[in-house]
Amino acid sequence: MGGLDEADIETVTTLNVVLSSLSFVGSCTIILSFSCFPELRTFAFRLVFFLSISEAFYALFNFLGFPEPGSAACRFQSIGLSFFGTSMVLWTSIIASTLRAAVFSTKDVARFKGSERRYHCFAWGLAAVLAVLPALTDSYGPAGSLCWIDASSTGALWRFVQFYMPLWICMSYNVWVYWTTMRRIRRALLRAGGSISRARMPLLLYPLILLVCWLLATVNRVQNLIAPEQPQFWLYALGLSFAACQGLLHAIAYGMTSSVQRVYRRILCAGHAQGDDESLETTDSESESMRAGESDGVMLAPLKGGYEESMDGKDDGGDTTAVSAAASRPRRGSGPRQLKDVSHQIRSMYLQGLGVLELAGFQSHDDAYSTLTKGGWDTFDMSAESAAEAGAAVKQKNGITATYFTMFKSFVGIGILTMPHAYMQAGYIGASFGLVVIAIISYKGMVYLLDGQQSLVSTGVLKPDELVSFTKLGVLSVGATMGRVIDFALVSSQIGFCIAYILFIGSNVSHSLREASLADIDEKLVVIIAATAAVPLVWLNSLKRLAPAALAADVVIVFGLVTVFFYDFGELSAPEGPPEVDPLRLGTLPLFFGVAVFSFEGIGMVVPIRQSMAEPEKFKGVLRNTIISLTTLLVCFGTLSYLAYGDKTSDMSKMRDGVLALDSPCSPFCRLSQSPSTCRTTAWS
Amino acid sequence: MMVQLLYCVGLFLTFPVMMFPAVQILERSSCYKRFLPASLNAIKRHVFRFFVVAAATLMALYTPHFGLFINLIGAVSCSTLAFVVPALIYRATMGKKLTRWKRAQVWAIVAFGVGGGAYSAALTLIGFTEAGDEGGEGR
Repeated sequence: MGGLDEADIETVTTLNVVLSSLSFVGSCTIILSFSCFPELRTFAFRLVFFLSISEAFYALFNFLGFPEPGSAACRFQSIGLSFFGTSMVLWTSIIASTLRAAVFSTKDVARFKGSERRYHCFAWGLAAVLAVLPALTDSYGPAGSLCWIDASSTGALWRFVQFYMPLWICMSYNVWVYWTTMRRIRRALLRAGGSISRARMPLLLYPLILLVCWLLATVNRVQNLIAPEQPQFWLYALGLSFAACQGLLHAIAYGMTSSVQRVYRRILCAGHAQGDDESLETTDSESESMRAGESDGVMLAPLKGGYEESMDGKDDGGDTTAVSAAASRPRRGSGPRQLKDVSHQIRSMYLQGLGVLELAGFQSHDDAYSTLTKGGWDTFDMSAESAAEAGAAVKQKNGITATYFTMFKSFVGIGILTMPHAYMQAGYIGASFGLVVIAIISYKGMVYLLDGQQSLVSTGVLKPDELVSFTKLGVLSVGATMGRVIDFALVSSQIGFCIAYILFIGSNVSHSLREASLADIDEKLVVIIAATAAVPLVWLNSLKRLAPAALAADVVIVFGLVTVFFYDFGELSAPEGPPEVDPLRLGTLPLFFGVAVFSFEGIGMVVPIRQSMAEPEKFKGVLRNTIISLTTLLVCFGTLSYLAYGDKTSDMSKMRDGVLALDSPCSPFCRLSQSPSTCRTTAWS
Repeated sequence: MMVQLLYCVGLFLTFPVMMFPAVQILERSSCYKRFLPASLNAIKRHVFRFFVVAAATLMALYTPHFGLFINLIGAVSCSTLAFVVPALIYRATMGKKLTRWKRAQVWAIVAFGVGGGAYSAALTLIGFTEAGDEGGEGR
């Protein structure tokens, strides 16, 4: 690699992997939001969704680091990076072209629906063709600090023909589209008496991101072309880092879109509206006012003196649309809300609004504002009204699939990563058998709880839809003592796990930093720092504001899981063969018990999830299937890891030792169940 | 290593989520309410939560063999939550309607929870004393 020595390459690779993981998390957040919230499934967001899929895969291929040149992994990475790299650039252009069509054309919605297939053919097809080209001349290979198209002269040609040329064409197209669109919207705004400064930011973000991300990478490759013998370390590092950031930056831009914020804010507030007697916030006047501001969002905007502005500049439009929004926005506690074909409606409103803009100009000041809020102002935003309409969807009951999703999310917590350790304590036969037994008994316990709740309902103690905490259930059925027992168990387990968390963070952060020879910090110091940093978070009065964070944490956990699986397979196929393992260990079997019980701790969630179902009578089947698949997953994961590593102490098992302490009595998300309404409203619909 | 760090970030974000229910229950208790007048609620809440975190941190720093400690909590609290409590709730609500066979099942599960939990807890405690002897800084 010419002027780059091994240490340099390693640094660049590490940087790349770090940033790619951030991007990965970002893309996954977009993907999850898309799948969770029907209001965010407009046509425009669909396109963003596919863009995110490309980006997520791009990041995944970056995770491979820098495989041995010539190996299968290297080839795999090359093709993957090339395919998804191109496709993600193409998707940004597709988004730009829809934006343009939406602002400049007056044709109706059907046209857009029909064109989606064409977009797919274009993005994936062209990317595939371009990805095949370098393979024809066998030009895939090492490219600095990862595998891509190699540095030979044909390779260099391919680099530009296959990637950078399309990239810059797309980029110029995007910039042009955004520029013209912006100009049009500004003009329209001016004509309507608005100010220019209001139409800004989100439109420009997407092409800007593309530019920022790829400018340095391009410079680097040009430099490679001109002086192949003298690669510049900093160019490499910066070029690759920025390129790896694309997913992250897009996720940020996505988060800045006000409809996304609105959805999240509304999801978070809907919990308040229902969980009043459960949630602590009621004790505090400060949070009370906060909550009012949140849950009545748009309505209160003019009164709250710029509350919206402080959230995000582009929400200014809320002031003027507030009147209409207030009219159509369902008040909390109002009766059954109608569910409409939200996404279709939003889309047609969006385009209708733009049609007005095109044909009639603006009738009035208000008209201009609402049209622009509906239309191109906020790239792909829906208007305040349609957001309110969409709000109706929250009250929707969950179908079977959504319930499975929620169940899975509640049950698969961090507990699964303790499985290797649990297996170490019980032996593989003992542990697998023990898991099955505990799974059956846990299932029994959950069924008991459900039946108990049902029978309280049938005797009239509880209303069918009443949200009830675990403690309250205990108090109502058995007595105050039971309530105290449950409280004690909850408090001790929660605090215990919190302690475990910070210990785990301490040992792992200090270990990783030492490993990477970045810094030598004592474990205890890290513990203290982490705990101090956590204090403000604990001060937060509402968990709901942490919901996105918890979602991100879940994504990370799943990612960790996949990685450990990946390593396990690698280890099993390692030349030195698998280590010594025991089928059964009676001596430490009891230590297995605790860990195994944790893995099935989703019990606090079953009642709220059942209540959120459209057909509650089907819940037991769902529960049974979830438990069965969870057990299978745990058994596979535990056995595999144990067989791969045995009692060996390596970096991974160091991690596992930490993981041992990292148990959760319940998935982190489901602990939101303390105010069960949250889970209900975040339950996928 | 990346995985480890990412994981730590994930955990850090989950920390308050885990802490929240515990703090919430504690703050609902009568002791907490009696301690200071409600007018000072905001300050009280912040101070109280700070102390809870501080206490957790101190335990994290000075408890030897934390794996065992966690196992103890898991065996006692979690098995109570998962097995004993639901079974008792079921029994209390369905009381008279249960057949003998069903009732036997309920008690078997309670026994499993209590027995398993107690046995596991006992062994963990033994582990503690042994570990304490070796470590020399027992609890």
